Amino acid sequence: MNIQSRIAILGGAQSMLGAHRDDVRLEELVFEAAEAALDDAGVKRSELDTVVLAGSDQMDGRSISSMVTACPAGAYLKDEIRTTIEGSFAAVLACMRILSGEFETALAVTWTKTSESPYDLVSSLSYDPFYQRPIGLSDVIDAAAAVSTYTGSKSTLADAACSVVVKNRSNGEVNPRAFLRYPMARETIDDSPYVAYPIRRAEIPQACDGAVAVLFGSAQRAKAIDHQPVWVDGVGWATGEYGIGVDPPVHMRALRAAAARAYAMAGVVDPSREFNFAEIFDGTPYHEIFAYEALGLTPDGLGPAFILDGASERHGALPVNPSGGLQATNLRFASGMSRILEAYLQLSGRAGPVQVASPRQGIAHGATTYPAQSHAIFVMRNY
Amino acid sequence: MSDMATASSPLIHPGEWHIHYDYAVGEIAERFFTELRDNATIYALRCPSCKLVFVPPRAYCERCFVRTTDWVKIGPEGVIEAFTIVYEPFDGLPVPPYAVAYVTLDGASTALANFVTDVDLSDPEQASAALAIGNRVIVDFVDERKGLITDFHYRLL
Ligand SMILES: [Zn+2]
Repeated sequence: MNIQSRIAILGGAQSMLGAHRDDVRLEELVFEAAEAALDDAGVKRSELDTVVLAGSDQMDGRSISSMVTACPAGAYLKDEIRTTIEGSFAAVLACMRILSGEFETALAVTWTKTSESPYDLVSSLSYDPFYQRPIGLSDVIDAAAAVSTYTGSKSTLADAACSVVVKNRSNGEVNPRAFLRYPMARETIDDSPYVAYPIRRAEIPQACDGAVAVLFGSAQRAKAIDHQPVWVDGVGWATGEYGIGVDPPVHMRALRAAAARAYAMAGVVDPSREFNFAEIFDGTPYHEIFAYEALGLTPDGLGPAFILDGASERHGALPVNPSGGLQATNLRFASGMSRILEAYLQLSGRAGPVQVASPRQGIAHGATTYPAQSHAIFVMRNY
Repeated sequence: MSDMATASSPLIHPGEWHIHYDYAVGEIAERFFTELRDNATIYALRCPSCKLVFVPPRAYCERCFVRTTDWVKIGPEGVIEAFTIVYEPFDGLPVPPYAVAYVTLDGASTALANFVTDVDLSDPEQASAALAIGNRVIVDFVDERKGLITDFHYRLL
C-alpha cells in the first residue's frame, strides 16, 4: 500500500443509448456499461478492487438504487461505495481511492433512466417546501432566472447561445456515440418558443437513457494496459450556495473554486492556452458560455465572443464539447461521466470522427443539473 | 397493424406513490411566517460577523459559520436581481404564463423569489424589459394571509 501520486484511466464505455431503453431494466443497463468498460480496458471483474457508483434515487424511482445496481456494476462481494450528487462525483471518489494506494483498480459507474418518470416533477422535489415550491420553480425555470443575471450584452448572449446549440448538435451529428445525430438549424432555434425566458424549447436537449462506466487505476496497473493510458493529474470539486442568494449565479463561483483546485493540483497556469479541448456541462447553451469564463478559457465578459468568434468550434483554437456535449447526448445524471469518457477517448486517440488533432491535455466537467450548484473538474493528459 | 404494434410494445409495470410529508418549519422560519401573516412585515436575520442579512432567515451564517442573532425588518421595496417568465406548463406548477423574480428587498443581502403580478406577459421581449435587472418593485400583501410565502408577491414600481 503506497500512496499514489498519479491516477490513470484504463478504459471506459457507455451502454447503448435510447430515448426509451425499455428493452432493459435499470440493472441490465448498468451491466452493459460496466461490462463494456472492463472489456475496453482488458480487465476482468476478478481483477477489480473497488466499485464506485453514483445514482439518483428520485430519478430511479427506488430508494438506495445501488442495492440493485451494485452487482451488475461488478461489485458482487467487492468493496463498493456510492455517492448521489452527480455522476462525475463517482469519478471523484474513484480517483481518491486510487490515490490512497489501497486500490489498483476502481470502476466508476453511473446511469440515468429518466424515461421512466416525469422529469420536471421529480426535479421539483429538490426545492425546499417552505419558500420555493409554492413559487412555481423548477430547475429549468431557475436556470432561466440565473441567465437573466448576466450583465453583458443580452442580444450577443442570445446569439451566442444559439451558436452553441448549432455547434454542439453539428458535432453530435458525426459522433457515433451521440444520441441526437442530426443537426439543429439556427432558424429552428430562433423560431422555437420560450420555455422560461430567455431559454427556448430547442435549447433544452432531449434526454436519453444510458449508463457510463470509466475504469481508473494506479500507475503500476496502467503499465499492463494495451492502449495509451490517460492520466488524471488534477481533480477539484466544490459546492456553491443553494438557490440564488448573495452571488450572481452566472459567476458560477463553485465552478471557479473547483477549477482552481484542479488547476493547482495539475500545475495548470494559463487555462486559456494549455488545453487542447474541453468537455463541459451544456445542459443549456448558456451554461457552456458562462463556463468558458468560469473555467478561465476566456476572460470574464467575453464568453459570448468565444463562441461567436469560432474559438470553441471543433476546428477552433480550443474545441469545446467536440463530442456534442449534453446538447447531443443529454444523459442527465450521468452527463458528467459522459464528459469524462469523451475526454478520455480524445486523449487516447480513439474519439473517431470527432477526434481533435493530437491532443495532449484537456478537461472534463460534471455539474448538477441546471441551477448547477456543485461542480467537478478533471484535468487529463496523455503524457 | 395492431398485431405489429402489440408485438413491438414493451411490457410496462406501472408504479405510483402517494407519500405525505410533514415538513417542520422550525422556530426561525415560524417567526418569519407569523410576522408575514399577522403584521404583513418581512423579517430577516443578520450575521453578527459579516453583517450579511439573510432572507429567508436562517439560524446560521454558512460563510462565517456562526449563529445569526439580529432580526431586521426589510422591504417593502426592493430591486430585481434575477427573473424569468414561464411560458410552458410544468407538472405540478402554476398555469403559464407567469413571472418570477428574485428580489433583494431593501435592507437584505440575499434575493427572495416570488411571483411578479400586474405585468403584461403577452410579448416576451417587452415583458422582459419591464422586469429588467435593477428595476424596483414593491411587496403587495394579500388580504387573507395564511403564513405562507404566497402571502405576498411583487409589483413593479
Ligand atoms: Zn457571516
